[in-house]
Amino acid sequence: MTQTQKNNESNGKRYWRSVEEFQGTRELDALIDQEFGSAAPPPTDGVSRRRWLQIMGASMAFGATLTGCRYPAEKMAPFAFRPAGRTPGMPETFSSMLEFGGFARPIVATSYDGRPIKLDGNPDHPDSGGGSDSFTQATILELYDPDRSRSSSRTGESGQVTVTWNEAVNNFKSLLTGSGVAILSEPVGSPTVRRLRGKLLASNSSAQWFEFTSVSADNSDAGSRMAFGSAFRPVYKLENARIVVTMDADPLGTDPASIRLTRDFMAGRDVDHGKMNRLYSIESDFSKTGAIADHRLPLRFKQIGSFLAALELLIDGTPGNLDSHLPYNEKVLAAIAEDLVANRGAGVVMVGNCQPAEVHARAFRINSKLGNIGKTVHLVKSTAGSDLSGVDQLKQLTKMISDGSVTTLVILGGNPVFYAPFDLDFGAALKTIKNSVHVSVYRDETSRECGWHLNAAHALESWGDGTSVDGSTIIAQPLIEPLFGGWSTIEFLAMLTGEADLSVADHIHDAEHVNDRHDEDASRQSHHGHIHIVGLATVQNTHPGSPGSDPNKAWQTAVRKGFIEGTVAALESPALLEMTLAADDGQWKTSWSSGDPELIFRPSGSIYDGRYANNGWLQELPDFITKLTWDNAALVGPATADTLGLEHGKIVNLKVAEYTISMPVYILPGMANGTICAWLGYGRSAAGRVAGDADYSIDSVGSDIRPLRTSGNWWSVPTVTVIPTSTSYTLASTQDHFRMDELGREEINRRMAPEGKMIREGNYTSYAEFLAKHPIDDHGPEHKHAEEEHGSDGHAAQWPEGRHLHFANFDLTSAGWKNDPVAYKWGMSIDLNKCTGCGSCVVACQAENNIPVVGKDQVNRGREMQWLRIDRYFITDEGDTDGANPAIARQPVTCQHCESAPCETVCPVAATTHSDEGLNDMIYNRCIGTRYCGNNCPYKVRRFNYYNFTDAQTFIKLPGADRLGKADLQLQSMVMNPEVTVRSRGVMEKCTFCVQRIQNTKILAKTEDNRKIHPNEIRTACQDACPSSAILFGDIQNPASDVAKAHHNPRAYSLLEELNIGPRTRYLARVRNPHPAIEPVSASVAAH
Amino acid sequence: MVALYVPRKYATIWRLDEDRDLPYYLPTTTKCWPDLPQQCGWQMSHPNDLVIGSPDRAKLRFLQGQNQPMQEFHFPNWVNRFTVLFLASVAILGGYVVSVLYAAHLPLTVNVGHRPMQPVPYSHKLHAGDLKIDCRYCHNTVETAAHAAIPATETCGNCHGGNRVNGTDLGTVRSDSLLLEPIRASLESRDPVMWVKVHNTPDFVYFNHAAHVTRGVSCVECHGRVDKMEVVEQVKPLSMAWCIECHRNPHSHIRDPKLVTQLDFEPPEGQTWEEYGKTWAETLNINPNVSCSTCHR
Repeated sequence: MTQTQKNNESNGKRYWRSVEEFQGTRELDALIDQEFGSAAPPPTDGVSRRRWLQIMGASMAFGATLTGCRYPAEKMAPFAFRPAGRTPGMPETFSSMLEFGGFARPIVATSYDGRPIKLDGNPDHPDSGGGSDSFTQATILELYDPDRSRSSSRTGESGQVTVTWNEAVNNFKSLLTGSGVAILSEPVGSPTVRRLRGKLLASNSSAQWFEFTSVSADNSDAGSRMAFGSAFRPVYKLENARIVVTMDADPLGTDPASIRLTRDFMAGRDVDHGKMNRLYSIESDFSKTGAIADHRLPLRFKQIGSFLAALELLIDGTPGNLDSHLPYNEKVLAAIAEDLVANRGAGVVMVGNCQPAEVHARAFRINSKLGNIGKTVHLVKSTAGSDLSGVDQLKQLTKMISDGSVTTLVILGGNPVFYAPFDLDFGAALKTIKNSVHVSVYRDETSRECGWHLNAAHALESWGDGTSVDGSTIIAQPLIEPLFGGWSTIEFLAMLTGEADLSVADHIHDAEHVNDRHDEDASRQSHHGHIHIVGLATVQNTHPGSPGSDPNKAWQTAVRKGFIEGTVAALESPALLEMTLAADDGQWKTSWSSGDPELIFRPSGSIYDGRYANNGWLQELPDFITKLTWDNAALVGPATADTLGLEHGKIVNLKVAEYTISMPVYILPGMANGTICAWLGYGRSAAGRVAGDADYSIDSVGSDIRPLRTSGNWWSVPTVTVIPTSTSYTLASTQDHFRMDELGREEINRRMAPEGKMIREGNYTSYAEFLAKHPIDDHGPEHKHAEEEHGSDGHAAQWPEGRHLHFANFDLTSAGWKNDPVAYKWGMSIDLNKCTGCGSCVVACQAENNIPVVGKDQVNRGREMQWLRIDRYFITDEGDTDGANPAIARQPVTCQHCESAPCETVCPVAATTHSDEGLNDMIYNRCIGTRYCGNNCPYKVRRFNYYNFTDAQTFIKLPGADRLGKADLQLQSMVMNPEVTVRSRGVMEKCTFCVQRIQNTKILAKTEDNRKIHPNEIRTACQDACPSSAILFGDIQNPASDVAKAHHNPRAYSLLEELNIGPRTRYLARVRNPHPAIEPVSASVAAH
Repeated sequence: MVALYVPRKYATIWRLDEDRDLPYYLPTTTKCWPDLPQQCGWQMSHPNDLVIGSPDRAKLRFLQGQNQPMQEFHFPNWVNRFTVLFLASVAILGGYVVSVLYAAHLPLTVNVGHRPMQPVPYSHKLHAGDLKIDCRYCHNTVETAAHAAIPATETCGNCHGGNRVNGTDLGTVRSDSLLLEPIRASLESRDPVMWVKVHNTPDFVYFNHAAHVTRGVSCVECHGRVDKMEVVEQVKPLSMAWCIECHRNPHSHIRDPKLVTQLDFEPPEGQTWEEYGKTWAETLNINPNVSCSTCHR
């Protein structure tokens, strides 16, 4: 293909961000014209309507009075006895664990003077490899949430009575030996809880243990029971897969194993070293996985099973060659079959948890037929405690409650009243139980229906253990004393089962720690100290270590590493059973054009199933596809919306039988025709001051979809009546914010598509051809740029599809750089081929750099403060007017640290200047807030503090704020990173390349042995958080550094290179790998 | 008495024209002051205006109704003599006030000499000067951390601990002194001794002790002769200008890193500080950075 043809092909693409833009609505002009959105509102108006929640960004409230002109006197409180190994002001890291979706996630927590401030993945464990996701990153905010339950209580005759944990133990220990006992928990991943469960059930044979949660692997377990006779859990080895087919699965998104899967999947997409897998995504919603797929096919929820059946037929038969005359979806089907058959043992078919058991069973059969089991799909024994699904177990429990056979119910964690199927009315049933107790970190919906509520310790406050995705045992160690004196589930169970008792607890403490000054000191200062010892002893009892070895040493190793080595679950290879599965009924070919649409439920990419609802960072994290914050919505495709008469931003009523839910409509191109998608977890009434609390008249965030989520319609409602209304609703979507294209929409497309200045993409075939001629030299870029190798036009000769522009001034390889006396030149590279848009980096940046949360109203004005944003572009072919199946391009954008930064030249007070090492420094205390810099920034990465967002006292005058005492504000400020200045009102801020990490590493290198910094020694917060290592940072003039190599990759390009401002961040173009027979990157669905 | 019209904040100055009934606004209030009225007959008749010299008449005039023709007021000619003098004195007075305020805000004025009382009258002169205890005996994190940490009470207790903890003698030096009671109380209760910070930089400044001390910048450069201070006081302004001065010309502030705690150190005979420091700066490869992000994050 010639260069011209390529260009023409690119010319045939349109890049757009929102439906408004696609349809050419003029409202967008206002957004483009007004750099900072609408003008500042009168304070009373704006503030009073705003949710008080900004405090969740935490605050530093110094209540000091000035004495004379000098700043206030500060007192210093050194330890009386400094703990061994502690250096004041120096961060320490500890391994620990968080639980997500029933699996343990190995983490490393950074603790600063005894308070954890940052969580990252544990690089030593394959489940993380150092990467994390937004949920892991944001959990640290939850630890310091002032809405956490602070005391235990029970409902007495005269209202709520505060109780102690000891009273609870005394009360429930005897009850548990009686009859009518049931325990309800989330699926148990912890080996210790499993052990205690066995002990408890053995001591009382009439007791029953139920497991239920909102999002679980029940369908997969049921499918494996159909296929193999007993429950197995698939562990995918995507690094071995060449063909990945996801059927309504979201392995790179909300899957509990997403961190590991993302890393492994991207390892199989190492295009520079000739590794390239192909991803087909067949789905009813629009997931992050679908967005990265080489071929995505939107199908209705019901059609997925039928499509898989057709695929199996094709695999069994001869797939044959692809006929170019087939409609798109049939071409995709044939291509999948062809690829899977051609890559036996190196393909994988994954089915999402929402699909019914038969679909899972068929996927197991297909994987088995293709010889993928044991290679790309490892099977391990499922840890499910029952053959029944969670919903069925809860159904059984509700029935037992209503017929009076359960009189004592202990609920360990979770929030079953909020998650339960609506038809069970579990909350009402719970009220009728004589003795009910909920152990929970929050006084949530369930706690409010229970007789007793016990305030649990946070996961970061207690000892524990868990099972990771690969089955290995992860150890959780406490990072801080329980802030509100709670116990962990394990400690409570240990007391209930008699593993420990209240007197023993103190005894253990005295015996073991009397000679250790530090621990003695710690426990003296806290009267909760002893309960840790119970948790520790109980967890240790579960893991006695291998016989013959020193148990203490083994334990210490496990705690230090964060996991016990050699505990990876054994591989199983069960025989496939004969199954009769329904044959393909051809349903997947039928296209929906009228009639009742279907409704599907998915966990939210921001707050999952609602358990993270009270977390401001996550509520404000824009969902990758919709860029929606602070809300869920009815997501529908444009064609469906037309048929049903729905309008973007208008309320729609969805009715099933006598139940109706109302929610705003969000028109999302790429949704399957006739499918409406709604996220779980919104509309909480007892979450807290962020997400809504009925007790304090704080409105819920988002719409409650629960009335339609019944046990029969757990993941999808086959038929829903759609009643459009004309009521408008404000959706705070960031998709049109911070546009880098002030020249207007037409200009974007001129810049983006034909010249490829913003988004560059290409096909693997052509890249492979290029690489064959110009192999990448991993030894460093030094000799690579010799003239003879690339011709006189340098970069221009590189990968033609990348269309490199060449600006000699800023060619970082030119001789001028090498003679520069400055020791380091910092730069970053972002590999768009590896980025999934997961948002982990956004939250990590927020945690590292003390970035505030601003609330829905401010987001709506385009004032969100996140330093790092992930731009998402839809791509359609020119002339495509319905945008039915757009491809997606993603681009994380943060400060590019330009060599000749436009922001610096316009600052009247020199508050933003250039450092010797190429950083674009921002000096907050000098900034007077003219916002000229933000106006002049071509990348739109500067953020302005319109309010004192970090000071709750001055900013929040809203419901619930009066409950915030000084102690609450101090609690919130505990999450702050002391290495970064907390900004106040009227100050500009932006990405600093984590300058605090750079400086501290430099100082460390100098003080250690006056050495130079190692090539990849400094890691930014976003880099640490990235599960696929898409972000690299380092010294671009050091040929040994990863970032220098990346900058010399043929795919590397600078954003808006034509402005000639020499950005220090370079992007690596994305490489797609479409099936050769379905060449076009995006194609409209041939359903019509 | 000189009659001056001193317009208040929104003083309106009306010109009463014989032909018209209604007064109208003038754009500014300054044109008529102090000698213009003589020529043009400007009148000030707002009741809120302070009319020095003839307040009653002005008020009366206003009350009588504004459309009555008013008596013109003329500054006497000799007033002109004082105009320049007056303006000059205002300028001088203003300059004086500004200078005083400026000087009063300088870190040099505000910070130098700050000498707070401490809960225990710890004498650096005695410990570091006379007894020659090394700085790092107490400030032991100074070479590894940003903070030169205030020692834990147990460090004091090593000598002065008394026997109230566990009944054993921790340290017997002056173990019954009343002045050391806070130390013993802290050891017993494990509550910290609340020391008052002497050297304090704003929160947006990130100074790192380790980076300086291990690179040959002595304690004395910023803290002065602490070994001669009975009560520690701030002797250097610790202002940004002061920091930058050294970052730009570091040589005379650099010495052998081994000698940083030797506060009375002088360069060898025949060498100036500049010459001596230069050799060490070259040995240690010291090129201080003056970029903003060196100290501000």
